[in-house]
Amino acid sequence: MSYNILKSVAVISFGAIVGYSSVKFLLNPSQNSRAIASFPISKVGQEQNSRYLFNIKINTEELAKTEEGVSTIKINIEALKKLNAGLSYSWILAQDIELLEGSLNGDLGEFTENQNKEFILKVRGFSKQLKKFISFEVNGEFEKKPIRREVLISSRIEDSLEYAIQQNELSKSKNQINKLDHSKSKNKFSPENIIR
Amino acid sequence: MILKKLLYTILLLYFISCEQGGGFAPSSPDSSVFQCPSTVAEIAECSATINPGASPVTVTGTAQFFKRTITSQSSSLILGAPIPAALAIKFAEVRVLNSSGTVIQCGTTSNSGALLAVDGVSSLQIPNTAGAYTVEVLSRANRAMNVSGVPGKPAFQLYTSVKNDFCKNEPHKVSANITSDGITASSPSLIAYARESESSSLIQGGAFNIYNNLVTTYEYLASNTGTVNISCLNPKLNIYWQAGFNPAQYVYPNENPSTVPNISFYIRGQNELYINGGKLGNVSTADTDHFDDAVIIHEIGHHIESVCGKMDSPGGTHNGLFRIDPRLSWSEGWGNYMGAHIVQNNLNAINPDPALSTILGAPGWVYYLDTKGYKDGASGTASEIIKISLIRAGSNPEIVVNNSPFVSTCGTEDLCFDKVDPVINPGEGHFREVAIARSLFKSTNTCASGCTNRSDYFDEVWKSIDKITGMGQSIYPFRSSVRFYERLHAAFSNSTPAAIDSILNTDEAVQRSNSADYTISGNLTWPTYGVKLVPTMTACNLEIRPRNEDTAVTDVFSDQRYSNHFYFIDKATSLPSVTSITLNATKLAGTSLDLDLILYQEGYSFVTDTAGTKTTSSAQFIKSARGSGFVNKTISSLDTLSLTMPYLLNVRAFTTGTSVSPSTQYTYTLTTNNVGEYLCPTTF
Repeated sequence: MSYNILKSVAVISFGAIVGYSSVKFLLNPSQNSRAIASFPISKVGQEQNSRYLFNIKINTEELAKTEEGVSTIKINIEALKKLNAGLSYSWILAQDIELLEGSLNGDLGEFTENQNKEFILKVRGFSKQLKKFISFEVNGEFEKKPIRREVLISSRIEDSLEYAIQQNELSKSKNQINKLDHSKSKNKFSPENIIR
Repeated sequence: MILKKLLYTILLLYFISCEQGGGFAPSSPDSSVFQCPSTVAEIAECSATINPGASPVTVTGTAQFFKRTITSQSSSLILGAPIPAALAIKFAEVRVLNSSGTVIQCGTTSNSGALLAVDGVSSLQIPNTAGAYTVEVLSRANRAMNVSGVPGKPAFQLYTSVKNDFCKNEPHKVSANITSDGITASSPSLIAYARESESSSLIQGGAFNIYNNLVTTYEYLASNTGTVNISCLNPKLNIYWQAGFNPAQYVYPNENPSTVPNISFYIRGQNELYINGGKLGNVSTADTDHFDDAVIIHEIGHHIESVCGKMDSPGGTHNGLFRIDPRLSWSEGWGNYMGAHIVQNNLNAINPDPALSTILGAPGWVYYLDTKGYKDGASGTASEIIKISLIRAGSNPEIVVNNSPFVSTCGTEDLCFDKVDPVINPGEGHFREVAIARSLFKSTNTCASGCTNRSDYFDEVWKSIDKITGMGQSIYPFRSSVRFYERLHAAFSNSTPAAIDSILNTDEAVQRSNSADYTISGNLTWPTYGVKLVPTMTACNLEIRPRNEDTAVTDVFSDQRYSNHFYFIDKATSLPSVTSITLNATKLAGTSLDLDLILYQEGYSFVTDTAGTKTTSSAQFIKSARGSGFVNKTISSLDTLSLTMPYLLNVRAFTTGTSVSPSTQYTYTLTTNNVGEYLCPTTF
């Protein structure tokens, strides 16, 4: 029994070392990764610039069930490096969404590295009852590079094909974890094959 | 128990290490990739005439589509209402089904969208059985293109299918019900609409617009590439698009769909295009590409480059602001050019809206344009994401961020799309995709000033990129615009028209390889990117002039135009007896820097340094000599290199983490293990 456990430990240790080393190597910031190869001129270039600066997380857990209810939408911005002033944000609401609380636009302000800031809106007319959209945009310039990042929030994201794909992927990942199968299958959608 | 804890700890570490690469991060090459839970095969092509029997009934009718036009909003161009008159759906597959859903006849649409038999000439006929039928026109074709206007030109095939997604593989279609009394049948009018309200939100007009862009591009190539065989286009091109769907979710399936950027893209080696249809079902305010003709044709341009030429693009960040890898700048510049050029020269087939012609005025369509949302009366919200005029001067290009209000020219304080200076920075256009796109466009189009006014030069452009006489040939590794313009020179019988030379030399800084601008005081300061090294017994005068790291001109550390030289190593034919190469440099002026040697192979990704830290190890490095100093840098054991693999020798000045004086200059030599032998660049 102990021998078997030791054998498992040896095999898995090897996998861990290889896996960890590979990821470390692949994420080596000194390399110009081919994963970003395909992104095109323009919007995605500007979007890419922003991804080296900050992460955006969305919280839509407090969406009303009906149009009469009040929904709360939270955006969390985490700075990946020190950010000086110069970036602004704006929310764009559909016409029939009523703003109850929060500012529709403003400056992001300065960030220290790893600092988080939350931007919250309370609205009416954005619920699970009807599919509507709210956008959150960050625009500006950082170190002479234009920055533009937009997230599109749907009140019924579950109706979309994108959501189905994400859920399928998460489910697949979960099953893989359960099966202790972490082989990353590379297929045609591997970023190095994508040319924009 | 301890062993179990150890086991769990190791497993946890293993999971964490994998998860680091699993999330959405465009910079992570280990992102997970999407695979279909199940795949449905595309329905069989309806390509043969089915005998309708005696006294058949003729079905007549037309197939058309609407698209959103381009209109103006202040100084921007945006998507507006649908065009006033529908466009014909050309050469598309027609199916007639009986009430049981059985296909009882196949056909095709004509050049004007008329329903015809498979041969494209005869009438579309069905059996004389009275009843209800359904006529379908699919966004799919597999037929020979008409090359009769160019005697001697070999036939080629239009073979494509525009489908909803790559799991279901359903071609888009428009359909109509007809009735037959056994003698005559009602005439269907099949129309694909552009508005959600007219199409149950399917917007089939988007699918047929993508299809029409491809047909128009192929028709243009049929009549503008001389007698050259372009059957390289024959393989089937699968195009995937769905209204309201962002195909980037396939690439980043783990990511929250709200945050995945909208992109259209081409998959290298798969003959597949994915066109951005919006996001989360939103087409009215989201970024969409199905009516952005320049974006669609940009992607088609990548396909053309891939199947008829050779795509060497390594990818990487690019946004038209910086000097980048010349293989990437070429590929993207070509796509940008095709997006504008095909629309400009086929506006009537792509967007015949008279109001658009009025907006565009004399120059016509001269843009790469990407829009977001649409404005249709009170519906929608539209904006212009990017618009680049390709007839602007290299010294005064389109402004991205205007930091000098009230001044309309691109100043030093502004961010502009690849502003170049052919005198101060000769050749830098080869490292800038927009400069390349502008140079191509101005070389083959008409404009008030700065163009050749010769659209017929496209013939020579084609001969310069294809596999037959162009740089698609296997003898030309490390393809870039400098190779393209050499092939163009050859296509013009080594006599490039003066108007083109003027664009290259005095406008867009894409001077050809033999330009005197690269030689200063007798020293060659920019050996052509990818020029082959050959052995000689005398030294050549090579000089590198490294530049300070400047985020205003390059978005990676180490300026590929100034701080690096790149040479093609053809081991088999030029250097069979060479086992080592040594770099020795002499400082002439400026800052003391390390000069290093790095050997890459074909398909490499350029490896940068980080601020003050030299990258000494990388899987991309086949060999490297990156110690301190600038003498006796040797890479050895070159006898172990493959004789069939093209290699690239990179002479690199290590410039990060220090202030590099503008006067910095080094001459250098490259010598081999053979006594007295030097390596020098040969004719490009």
